[in-house]
Amino acid sequence: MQDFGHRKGSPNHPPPPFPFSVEEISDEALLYALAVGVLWSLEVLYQRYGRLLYSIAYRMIPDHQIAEDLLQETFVSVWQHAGSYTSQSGSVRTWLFAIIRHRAIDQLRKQRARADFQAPSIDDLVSDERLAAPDTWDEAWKSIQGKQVRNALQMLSSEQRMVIELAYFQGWTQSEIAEGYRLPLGTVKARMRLGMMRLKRLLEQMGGR
Amino acid sequence: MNCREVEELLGAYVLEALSEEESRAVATHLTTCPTCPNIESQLRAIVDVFPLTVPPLDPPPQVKERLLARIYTEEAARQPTRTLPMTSLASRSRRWRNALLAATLLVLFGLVGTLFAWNLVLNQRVAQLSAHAQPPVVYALRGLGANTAAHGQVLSYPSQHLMVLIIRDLPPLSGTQVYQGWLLHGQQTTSIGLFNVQQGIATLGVVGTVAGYDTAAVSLEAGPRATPSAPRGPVVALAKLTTT
Repeated sequence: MQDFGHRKGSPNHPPPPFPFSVEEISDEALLYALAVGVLWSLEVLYQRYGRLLYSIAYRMIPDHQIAEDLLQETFVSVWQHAGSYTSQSGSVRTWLFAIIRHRAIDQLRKQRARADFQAPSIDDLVSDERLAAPDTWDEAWKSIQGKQVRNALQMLSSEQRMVIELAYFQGWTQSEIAEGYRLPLGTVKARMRLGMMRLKRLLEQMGGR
Repeated sequence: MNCREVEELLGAYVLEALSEEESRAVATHLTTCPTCPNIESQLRAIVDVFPLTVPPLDPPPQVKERLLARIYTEEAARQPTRTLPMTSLASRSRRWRNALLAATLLVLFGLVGTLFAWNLVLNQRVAQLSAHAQPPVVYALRGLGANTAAHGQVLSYPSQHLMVLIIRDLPPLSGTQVYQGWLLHGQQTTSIGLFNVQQGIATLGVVGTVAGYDTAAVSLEAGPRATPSAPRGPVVALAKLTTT
């Protein structure tokens, strides 16, 4: 009978193996495997990031059907373009965020092009309900970075948070914000600049980035 | 643009809120400036975490089902039509063997890149595996009885003394239950460890070979620790370790 690994066992106690788990496979390795046709690696990526990506999609467009479609389209795109990922795109997680965010922004632009479009209210944009509640966090949300950024966002002025919210989660440019909310462009630029720099300072004080 | 002008726009740049013209000007400046890229990367790192600030929401399970159905269907449509004998994988296409090789290599490289608890012998074997890139011997792992939907592979690298077992669509575990791997020679069984199961994908990597064994098996055990000596629970999948 063969021993497995360097650890010896007794006849009644087989030597323990050296197992590894799929959790320990890096995102990059999964993408590479997907690029050469290993489809189960997409399932692992979906398991890791499906919830997070769906949450982002729904946050940007609060419509379950649209969010589902965006999620599916994102992973189909990942499957089709896994070979195009490079480290210059950032981490795989960042790459995935970018794919679904850009798809959602495309969808939002189509909505904004409609004559009956109404810009989201300022109250909605700066509502604290849009920031995750602590008791619903899972491992990703419990990350120190996520917590610090959440706290820092809440410490911005409502005006600063509004323009950042519109830019990131709604895909608006500074000009579009100025026009949509009838604000001077200079005011929008200043709020965005000061808001982002304040975020940076707050996170540096918290010990983050 | 000078650095002062660019610094004022970097927040909007990482938020992708600039006009195309402004964005191009900032990007051009970043390619040559020694200091602004540092500020840009700090701001980008903040924005990259914005998704973690949204309320978590579970997608309906049918989204994954539809996605996988589409992908596996489209992928199957690309493969040449061929009937394979159950016990022989020698006739698999080169593309799939290379794909499995690449996948296994990358699984192992992904681990080497992230783990710190590997022993020296295993590291050396993984290095040999990557250096010579010998394709594995592949055996089909199939579900038994009520688990006919389960399927996977045993990938054996005999010269590197490594094997990987991957199987999907096993029933979910409950309580302390575990899936355990075994190698059999006749009626004699040897445990090779516990599978890690995530969403129906079970994986087990083992230092060792299938030499001298005729069957690999997966059993459902009460857990939480491995059952010594022989399976006590039902065998849910088998692979015949023979090639023709």
